[in-house]
Amino acid sequence: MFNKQPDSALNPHFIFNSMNAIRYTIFQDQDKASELLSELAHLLRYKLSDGKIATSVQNELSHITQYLSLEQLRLEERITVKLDGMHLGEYLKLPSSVLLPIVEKLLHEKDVYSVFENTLNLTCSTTNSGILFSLCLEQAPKLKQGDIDFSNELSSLDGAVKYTLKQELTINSYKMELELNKL
Amino acid sequence: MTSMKVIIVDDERLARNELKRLLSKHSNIEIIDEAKNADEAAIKIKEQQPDAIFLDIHMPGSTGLELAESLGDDVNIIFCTAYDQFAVDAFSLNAMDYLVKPVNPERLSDAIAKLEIRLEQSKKQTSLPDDHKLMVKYGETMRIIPLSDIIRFESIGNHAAIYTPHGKAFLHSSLNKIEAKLDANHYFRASRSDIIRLDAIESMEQAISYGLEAKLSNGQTIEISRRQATKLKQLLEFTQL
Repeated sequence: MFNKQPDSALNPHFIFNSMNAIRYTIFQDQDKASELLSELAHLLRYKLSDGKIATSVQNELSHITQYLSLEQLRLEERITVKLDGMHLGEYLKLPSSVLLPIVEKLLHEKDVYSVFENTLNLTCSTTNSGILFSLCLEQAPKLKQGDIDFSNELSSLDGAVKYTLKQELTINSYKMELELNKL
Repeated sequence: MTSMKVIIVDDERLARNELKRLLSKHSNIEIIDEAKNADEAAIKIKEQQPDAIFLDIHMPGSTGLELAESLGDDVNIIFCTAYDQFAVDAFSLNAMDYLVKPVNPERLSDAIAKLEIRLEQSKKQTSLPDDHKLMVKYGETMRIIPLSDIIRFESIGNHAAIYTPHGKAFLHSSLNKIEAKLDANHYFRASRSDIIRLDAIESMEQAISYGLEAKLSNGQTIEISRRQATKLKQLLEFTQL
């Protein structure tokens, strides 16, 4: 669980910084702290079973929402998150957690923690035979360049779900689209 | 008990607040400022010369390690970060301590005790004796005076005015640097702008601002801030003997 690789476990920085932020929130807003602690616990529980249980796109989206809510708690005005279509994907099953590790890897690879302004748009929409999962990250003053290697994260989909991945970079933005279709 | 001035450097507001909450339980710690990145911290450290900084590592712009490297031995550094992966690098930069978040209050107490010992030792090594001779310029005349002749240091921009039996003169030094060289048994920081000699105080009265007004042997009246007045009262209590 405390593996440093974000593709296989929650990043320890994320865990401990979240705990630290929650501890302060306990003294400011107990209800909020309780909610955040539940979210962190859900995430940790989910991660402990990572790779061992099948899941669905919708379940993954729900955990991504919790993950991003904890990141927003810490980063405050430095990250703006816009989510759309997070209720979709109930019937599209996945062999293991894939989308959450992709979001984690994006934040880690583009090092949102060292950037003054991040805007993350996460959109999920239905296609003829599946789901289109897209992420767009804009950073200021500039984006860390380079495509991201998601081969580890996507390898569990082989033979279970048909997928296509597209990545696009500009000076200030990174965009990826993952189309997931039933076999 | 000497007050230790610290600055908290962390990019996350909640993390700064959490550390402030923990430090508020230590009456010998005075948080004089906070900074949310290394560049801001470098300016504040230069201006305010804290005794120590609590420094996060992973921040936007320069990292805490880069800041530590640029500061050298000028300030005591207690790293405070989420994970111990940088501990080796931090100690190679002469870090005084390395705390992991969420900070264990007992570890924090240990770090503060260590800081206090280090400051006391450096104070003993650096504080000037009362008969230390200083060359001071009064108008066109140079005089050699003992340190004990100075009954007040007043901050004026980047300089300090000194008040002595021969009159007023100036030193090219900040009040914080001067304070670091003075023996706390003889001199007392009355406020951000004044250090006064304890045996030059003739009388004191309660001030409207809930602090004190001290009348000095040269006739000047100096305001002692509310916070410092409390410290002065503690310092001069019979129980301290």
